[in-house]
Amino acid sequence: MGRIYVNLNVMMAKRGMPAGTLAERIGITPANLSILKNNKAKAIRFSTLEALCRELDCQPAELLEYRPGDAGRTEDGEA
Amino acid sequence: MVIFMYGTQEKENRFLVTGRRSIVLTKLCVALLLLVCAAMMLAGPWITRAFNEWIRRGGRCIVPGSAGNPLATSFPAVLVIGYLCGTTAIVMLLCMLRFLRRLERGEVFTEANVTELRRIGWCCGAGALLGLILGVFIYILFLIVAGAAGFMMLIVRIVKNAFEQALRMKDELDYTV
Repeated sequence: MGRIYVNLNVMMAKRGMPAGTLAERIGITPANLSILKNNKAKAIRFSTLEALCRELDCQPAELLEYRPGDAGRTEDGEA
Repeated sequence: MVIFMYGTQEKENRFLVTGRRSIVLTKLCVALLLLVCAAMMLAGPWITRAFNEWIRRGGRCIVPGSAGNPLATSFPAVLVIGYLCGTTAIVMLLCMLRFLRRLERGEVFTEANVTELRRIGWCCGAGALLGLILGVFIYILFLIVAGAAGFMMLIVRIVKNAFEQALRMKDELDYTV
């Protein structure tokens, strides 16, 4: 079974956007942004995705990636 | 709008106070039952002797022939069954008390509460089984206790399943960004 990954770290690095600033601009808590960044989130709201794309000036496809056969793994390698 | 909002706030506060009062009241009832159980267990030998004597004299609603039944007239057998019932009741009441304490702290849909409900369900099941043994071999009216405990077990199991489902949903909601 595969899994959806959020490549937020890559996009934030490309845009040079610190986590605190991004969290403030998209209106979520730094803790929730960390959940998203570490791929621990189970779902993402369209409004959050929309705000991320607006602030990072990108498309949803650049943020989300499907990796087959990689279920239950987080960015930290946690199962 | 302001009146409506004030009304809603007031309603919410009233609901919170009533909820807290209800939990405190339930806790008091559970604590009282715990005391009754502990007292009955302390008085276990005395109650058993009185019960044995009552069976020997052929009291009302006893199972026909139980006056000569060693299970009904033997002091150790009835004492052991009685202590098993008492222990089950105390374990269940302690689980209920822990469950209520968590509810009071606002911890509703947690893994610990699901475990507690599972334990309460098993205690009800054990009570039903003991009631069935007592009802079949000694005192017919214990069958009512067995039926009630069995039905209670089913209800608690359903609530436990609902809590399990809610826990899954809460987990999903907590990780929705």
